[in-house]
Amino acid sequence: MNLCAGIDAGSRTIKVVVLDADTLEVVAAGACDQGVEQEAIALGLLDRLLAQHGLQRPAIRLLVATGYGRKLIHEAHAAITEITCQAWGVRHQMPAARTVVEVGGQDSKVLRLNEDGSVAEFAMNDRCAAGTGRFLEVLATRLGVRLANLGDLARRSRRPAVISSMCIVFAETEIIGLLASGVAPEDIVAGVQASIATRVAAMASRHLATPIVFTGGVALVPGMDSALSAALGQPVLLPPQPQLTGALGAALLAARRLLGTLTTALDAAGQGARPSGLRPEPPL
Amino acid sequence: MTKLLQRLTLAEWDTRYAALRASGLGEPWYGGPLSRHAQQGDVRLRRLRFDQSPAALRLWNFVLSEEDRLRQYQASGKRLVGAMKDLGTVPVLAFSLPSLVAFYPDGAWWTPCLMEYGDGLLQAADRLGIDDSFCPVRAMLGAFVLGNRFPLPGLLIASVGATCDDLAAIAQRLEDFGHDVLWWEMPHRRQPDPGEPAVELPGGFVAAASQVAAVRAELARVAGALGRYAGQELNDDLLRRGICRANRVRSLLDQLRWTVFTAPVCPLPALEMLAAEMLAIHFCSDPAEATAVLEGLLAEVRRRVAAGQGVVPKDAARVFWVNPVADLRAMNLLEDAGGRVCGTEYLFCHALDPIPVDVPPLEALARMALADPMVGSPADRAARVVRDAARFGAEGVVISRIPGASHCGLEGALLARHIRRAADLPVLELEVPPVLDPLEPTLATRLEALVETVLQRRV
Amino acid sequence: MLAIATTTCDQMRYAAALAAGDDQGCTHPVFLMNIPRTWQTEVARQFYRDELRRLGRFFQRLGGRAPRPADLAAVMQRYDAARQAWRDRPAGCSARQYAEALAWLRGPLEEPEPTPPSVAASAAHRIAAGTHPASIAVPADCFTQGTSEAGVRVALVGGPLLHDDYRLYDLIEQAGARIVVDGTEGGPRTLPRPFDPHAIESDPFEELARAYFDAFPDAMRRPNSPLYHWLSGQITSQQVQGIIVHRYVWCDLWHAEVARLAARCGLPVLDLDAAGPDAGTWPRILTRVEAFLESLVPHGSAAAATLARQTPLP
Repeated sequence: MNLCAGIDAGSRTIKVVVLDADTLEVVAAGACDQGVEQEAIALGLLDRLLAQHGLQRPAIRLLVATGYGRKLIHEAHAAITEITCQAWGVRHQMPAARTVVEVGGQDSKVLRLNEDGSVAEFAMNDRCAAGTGRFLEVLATRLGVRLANLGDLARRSRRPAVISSMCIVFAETEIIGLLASGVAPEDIVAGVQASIATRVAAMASRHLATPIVFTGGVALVPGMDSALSAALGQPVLLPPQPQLTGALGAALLAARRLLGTLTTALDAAGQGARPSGLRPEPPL
Repeated sequence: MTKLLQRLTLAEWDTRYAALRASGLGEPWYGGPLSRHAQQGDVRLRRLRFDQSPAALRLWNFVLSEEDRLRQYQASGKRLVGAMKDLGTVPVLAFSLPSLVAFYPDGAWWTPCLMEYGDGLLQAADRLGIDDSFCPVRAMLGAFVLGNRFPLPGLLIASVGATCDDLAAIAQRLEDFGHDVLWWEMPHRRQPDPGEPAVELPGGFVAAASQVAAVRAELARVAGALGRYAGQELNDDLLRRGICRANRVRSLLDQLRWTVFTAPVCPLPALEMLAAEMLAIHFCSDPAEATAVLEGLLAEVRRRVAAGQGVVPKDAARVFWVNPVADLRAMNLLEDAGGRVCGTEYLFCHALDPIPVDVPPLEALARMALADPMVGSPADRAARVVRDAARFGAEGVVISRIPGASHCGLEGALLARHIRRAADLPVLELEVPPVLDPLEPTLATRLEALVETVLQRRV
Repeated sequence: MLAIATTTCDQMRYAAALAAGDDQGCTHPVFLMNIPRTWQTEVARQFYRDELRRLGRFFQRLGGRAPRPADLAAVMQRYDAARQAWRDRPAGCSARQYAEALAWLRGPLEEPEPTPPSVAASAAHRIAAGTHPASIAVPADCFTQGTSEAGVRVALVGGPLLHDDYRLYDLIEQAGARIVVDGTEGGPRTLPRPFDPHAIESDPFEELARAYFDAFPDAMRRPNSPLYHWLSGQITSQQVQGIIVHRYVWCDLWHAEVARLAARCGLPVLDLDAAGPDAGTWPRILTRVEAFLESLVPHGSAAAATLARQTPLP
């Protein structure tokens, strides 16, 4: 078995995907919080995932790192930007995707893809936290709820609050004011989701082509896909594991290098092979 | 003590309107209840408080019906001219030709405020790569692209040079969409060199004669283009009559400002004064009606002063306000904080000065255009502020910054420095976004602090 | 010390006011040169000539003297020769070397100690003594290191670069690109054309004004069609594959051109917004440049090429 791995060393979490290069099946995948010793944390996660399958690190024939901390993973054989890896990862799972909107803990990106899946253009926001997951973290802390429960709260909203602050520092003050004036927490959550979505949509509006796929850790938060869809005025799709698309793309690139074979799902489908270990693509 | 005249919410105005109509209020064709504008999309009006006079009602209906008026003009065969950035010069030229109507498409910058972002103009600008790091005047680009606000003018005339980069960038974009733009150069007004022939400008500035000559040549080019567009030469006779009409508006505004800013009790709120002053730059597309509106306001203000009636307490802090605000609500906030506006410099004080009539008309307009406070140094602009603040008895100064505006970042600090040194007045810098609601507590705190400072200095 | 600023953008116009600090009795002379944004009229050209003369009067007030036409012509010819030496430079040097050589031609990269009695006199003295950069040919050792002919061919465009930002040239080329067009403000885009030798003889001032007024196809011009005309020619002749726009965060003029460049040039465009050469800037820029280069070649090939370069097969 030819195993390859991709490590996405993001600003808040590290994601790892181990791939069977011959079948393009995901053998193992996981995520953990980022820390100071990035390489140790990443390799530790990789080792734990391999151990679950009775494997060890020497079994990995090629390792590609991506993400904010990619150049700190010295064990990796190569470092490729998360833009390229996201494109590969998303297109492998959703071959028709033309726009990727990735919202992480501290940044957000929009990629427009050509028909062949290559990146046509991209935009990044890594200056302002207002359009990132950080805003949700601030909100969760202020409301005293877990991040994972925000979606449930938002679903109960009947009248989302308008959060018009451009900066989350001021937005936090605004949220306190809304709570004090009796606005329901669920309406505030829905308002924050809409605010994040609006900021992302503003960056994305120049680069849109459908279908639009939403990835990144923030895509895991229930309700954010609806908020983004409303802000864009277009439906958005979620890949099976939105947080892992970058690491998957890195692993796919490693596989391609290793075997010199086609690695997109579309290409694989043309040769009769189907990727497994992933949920089937939703109909477009 | 005479009871204060209450400022009204939109709902309260509906009640008052019904009473006025019942008692025989006459209105021009654009009259009606203010609330209809909110129903048509200007929802911000529901958060404002207005003066209760019929004169103010007429002012607001006049200002808020401009887009309808422009469409009527176009339908009747008049040709529309869009002037950009110069504030007050090109419309004088354009309105001198009977078949032309001029307006400022950059006035669309208030649409996101009035519609509380429901207009889609800023989002349209985002899609074109002009994001919120630019001045809210980017709404103008959205208005041209969407075509759902003002009717598109057939000729655009943009001043560039010592103007502002945001508008120059946005105007350049309009050429990509097929609009013909006539660019004309506005030089940076400088002090004449020793021995260099100099010309005194309206408002007290001085410029090199060579600069006035250059602007005159540019305005001649603009006049030629307007004449070709109108199918009629813009000769000096027509221009003199146009200047005379403009000076009538300026005279009324001068009297209105003097009366309001120097009255012992403030007779007209800051919000209405802001709207009234805006009539200076292009008469809200109708010079004759602008004149009538201002005459009505002036009459009301004089009546109130004679009766000792005011809209804010007598001891309100007298504040000079520099730069227009992206959210009109800021003018209400000042009065809520205990202040009153006594003096303004909304980027176009040159359009409030009389245009000279003792020199040839193009020369007069060139001098007036070069007197624009924005085309010279911040020191010059501050000097004018200091002079006018003294004239109106201001006790403090607010410099409001427009978010993203390319000149505001540095200029505000420079103005504040000059004013503090020259006038020993407390100066407050604020940034007012198109919808200030999220910042209202901090803005209110700052305004209240300025008022407290002013009041303490009186002791 | 004195400062010469221009009205080419709002930030510089107001920075000049800040530097003048006229309310604080600042003794540093500051000259704000009014560069017309329009360019198609005789009014604009005349205005520019007048500003050049005014600049001359400014230097005279500081102790300089008006040059005789022959002296002016001689200086113009020396600069012209130096620029020609730069144009004739050997091929294969790094973009940074070319940029630094050009910056050196426009004036010293490192400020010399000011020499009394006046700055203007000091500069004239150094030209006369042959020690001013304008009087010396471009040193041959500027061009000792070659760069590979391979690499994605990119145009780097934008406003001025601070000297510390020259690292950007290296970063882009080390990431696998070749900067075949330097369209930044300090690059050849703003070099005046070679002077007409007859015109220099008959009226050197007029030739100076004409050459420089026409010299800069720039984002600030209105209309700025000359910028696109110049860029179009460069893209074709240099077979540019992608455009990298470097702008400082609050530079509205270049920010507004990013979307236009993409639409009008028909090439992929990378927008690099920088807040200055601080430590946090370079990783951000590197990620964007690498991603851009990865996207510029056929699907997968760039990443494959990166992998091939970085990974010997185990």
